[in-house]
Amino acid sequence: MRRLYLMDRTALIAALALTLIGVTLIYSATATDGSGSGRWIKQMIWCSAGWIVYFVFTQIDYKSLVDRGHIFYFLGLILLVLVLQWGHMANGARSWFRIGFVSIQPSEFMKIAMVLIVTRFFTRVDRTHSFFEFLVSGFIVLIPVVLIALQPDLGTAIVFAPLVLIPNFLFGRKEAIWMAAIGILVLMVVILGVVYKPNWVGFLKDYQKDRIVSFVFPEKDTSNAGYQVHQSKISIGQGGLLGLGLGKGKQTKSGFLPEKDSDFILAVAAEETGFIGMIAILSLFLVVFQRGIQTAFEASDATGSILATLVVCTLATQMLFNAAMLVGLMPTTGIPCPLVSYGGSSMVTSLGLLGLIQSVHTHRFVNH
Amino acid sequence: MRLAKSPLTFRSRLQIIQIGLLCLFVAVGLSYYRIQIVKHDYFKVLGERFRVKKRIIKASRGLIYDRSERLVTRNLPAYDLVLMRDEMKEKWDLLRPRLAEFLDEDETELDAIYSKSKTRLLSLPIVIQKDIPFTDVVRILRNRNQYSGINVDVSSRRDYVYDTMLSHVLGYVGEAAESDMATDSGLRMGDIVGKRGLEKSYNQFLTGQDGEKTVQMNSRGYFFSEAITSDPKPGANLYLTVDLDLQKIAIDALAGHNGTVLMMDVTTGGMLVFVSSPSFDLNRFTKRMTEEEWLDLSNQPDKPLFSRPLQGLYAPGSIFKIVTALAALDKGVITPETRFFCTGEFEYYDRVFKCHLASGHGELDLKGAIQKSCNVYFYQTADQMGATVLASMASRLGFGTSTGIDLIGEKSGVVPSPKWKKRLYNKIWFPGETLSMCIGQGDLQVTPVQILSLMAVVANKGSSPIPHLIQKIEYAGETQLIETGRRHVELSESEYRTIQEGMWNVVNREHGTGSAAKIANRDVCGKTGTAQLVTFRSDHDRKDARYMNAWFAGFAPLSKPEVAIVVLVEHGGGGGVNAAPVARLVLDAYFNRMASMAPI
Repeated sequence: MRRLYLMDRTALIAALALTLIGVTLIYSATATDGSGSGRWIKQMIWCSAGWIVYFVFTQIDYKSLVDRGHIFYFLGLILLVLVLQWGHMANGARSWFRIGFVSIQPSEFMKIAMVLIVTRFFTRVDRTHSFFEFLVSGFIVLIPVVLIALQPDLGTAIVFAPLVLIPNFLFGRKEAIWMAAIGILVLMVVILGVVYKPNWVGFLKDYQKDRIVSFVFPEKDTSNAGYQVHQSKISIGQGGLLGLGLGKGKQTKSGFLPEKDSDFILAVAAEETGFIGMIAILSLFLVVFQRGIQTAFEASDATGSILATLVVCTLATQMLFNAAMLVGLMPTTGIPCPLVSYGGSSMVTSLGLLGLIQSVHTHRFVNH
Repeated sequence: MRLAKSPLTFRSRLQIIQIGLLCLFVAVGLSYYRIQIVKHDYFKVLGERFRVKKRIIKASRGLIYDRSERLVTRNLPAYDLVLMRDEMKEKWDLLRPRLAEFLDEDETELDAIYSKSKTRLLSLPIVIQKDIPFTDVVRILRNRNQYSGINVDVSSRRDYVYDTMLSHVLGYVGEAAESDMATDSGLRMGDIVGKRGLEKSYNQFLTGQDGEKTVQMNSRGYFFSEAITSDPKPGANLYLTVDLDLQKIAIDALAGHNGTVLMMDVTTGGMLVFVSSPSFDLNRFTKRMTEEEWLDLSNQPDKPLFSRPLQGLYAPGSIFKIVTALAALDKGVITPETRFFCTGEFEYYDRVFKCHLASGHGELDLKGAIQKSCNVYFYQTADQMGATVLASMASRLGFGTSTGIDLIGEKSGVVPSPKWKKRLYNKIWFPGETLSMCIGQGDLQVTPVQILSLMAVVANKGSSPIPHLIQKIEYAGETQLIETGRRHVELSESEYRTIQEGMWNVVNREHGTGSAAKIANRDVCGKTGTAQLVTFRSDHDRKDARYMNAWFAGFAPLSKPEVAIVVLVEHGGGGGVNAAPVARLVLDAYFNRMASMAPI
């Protein structure tokens, strides 16, 4: 238990604060309007479970986990295949297993397995730094992404992108980095082309272009996604500097804000606690992530460093994407905010991932 | 303890990630700053009025005025109880029983109304009760918070100022039926369309274009503000050619008899009088009407809904002698000077055809024959001419085809001929049928409007405007006069002249059958007809008015005809005695009161 002393207390406190803020916001959003009373209690239970996982991971040497990365990976793949077949359908996606009254989302837990397998792949002794290796790393990530996209849960699938980009950026070959950069550039040019000069892009069908446009500009889309972003922006804008006060959000209370306790929880925070509250939440996340990067700098080996970096990048992508989605900067694709949004699998996974960083942190000394 | 030396070869790249992460956080933070601080006021206002809903603004239907611009058809406000599905806060299954209790309506009936409109756009109201009394309006509005979704729409109800005077002219409106919506895709359920009369034939002019507005409501569903996105365009106003005063006089002149009075301006074709009797109350159709009421109205033996001028098929009787005379003159079978001798009867193929005057008219020329309406004269003419020539002249004069008056449902009638009989019944034409036909009996069937058209042709000596009921259409401040087509029947002027003089004799000479229509100095020309409805079995039958339709058709004045007139009194007896006086009353009214009337 000595290791508890070695933990990164700043990161711990910031993460704890975020989970408590999450519970408070869920209470504020749901407890009083009768739509889901008791959800904040469930979230408390999930938090506890998450924190237990967090501390367990803190104690385990991350190296032994990374060594078993392939086991977690294949276990995760099996679950993803099974969920496609026997999963529970909700919100148009087959993403959950229902065991009793608990719903489990394998794609969330897959994040932990992915972080471990990718770390393992890039820290093997027999690395070749070849272009082939770059393709294989992409392939490892692509398989679960395809399975998750089949559910279909595009949001979670997108979060996996840093797992292939970051390690290749960190110590991939220069060509691979350039290729990735060019690939992203071409993709952006195509998207911009479709949006602004549809006639110039000849190889796409009209309906495909329409999809891209409504993906990039939900406001142009009159369907559900556009409406959600519209309502979310109104919520956030209402908040102003100081917010309307906890439990007093008009948009939240009148039921115009969709999924107010999960994907759109930050809009509740913005409406009720204002810009000040948002800055606080963003700062806490920044502290957690910067501490994570710091751990990566201080890690005793490259494995720990990569592991910490991957965890940070996965969670940061998720968090930033969610925050940007609420203000319409990113398309609405159903990504929950880690640590804050309602959801057991997401909570346990996020805290588990942060636990991995703590493991790297507590095992940062060579003589331990 | 010491910190392990950093083994990282990718330290600098990690720093890039660290800085990149910081930048992204700053960017996201700034985007929240923009929305929460910079655009706070904008979103604050938006938050106040987040419920934006589309609503249709019904365009008002065009109004109808009479010849002297007196309003005859208007729109009165009406209150409809509606259900706005996009304002409902509970499921229909939950609302229905409470609503049924509140409105004292049958639950299944409510459900039927609801499910009928289920497939329509959410923003369109479902009309639950039409034209509710004002006391109910107050009650509903006071309780509408408990039954979210219900509301009272101010709509309009068509109101006919003169409920029975112009019934067959104006017609009435009703909700679009499935068949209407099938032919016009622009129609929505509950839209009002013309069902009869001018309301139907001018429906596309009368119907306006609905507008649209967006209504913004606050979070509790109360009205906040509204903005009109497209203005409703009201329908065009119509101006009748019919004159209400003359119409009234004509109705009174008919004195409750079944029949029709038509008067037309022969220079323009505008109908001044259009009476079909009996009539019905138009306003019964704009209110809720029960099935019973409808059946009661449509099954009456007098057929009040039936537009006699257009749809009534009658034997024209002696009025048809004008056609016979024109046919014979044109064919050269007779000249105006040709004389025949009437003994009171005409023996033909072992059958005796009688003249209406048993003692006979003696020797007559054509004008005399018209004046006294001598059957025997025309029997002999027709015998020499043959049925085919007569039938073709009848067709040229417009019989057997609709006149083209601007009303829907006009009948075309029947002009019999040997060919027609062969084709339809595969039977041989008997010579006796020619004699029946030449005096307007037999299988011949005409509508009163066709007779009016014939009078206009004779009055105008060949070229006459087609009768119509609308003189102008006013839309968005611009007035468009209705121009009607003309009917041409090219015959020599002297032939028309002869007929006109004969008709003048009918009214103005001694022993003329139509002398009851005489007006001093107005030179009324006319022809009477007494169409027998059954085969007379005895002389007693001959005197029973029930078996005869009384006709009078004519025009005036002789020198420069202004109007043509047709009077038909069903089961009225002799035309000279029963129809001609009606015509005189109406013509007299025209010359006395309407001399000052502005020509159209």
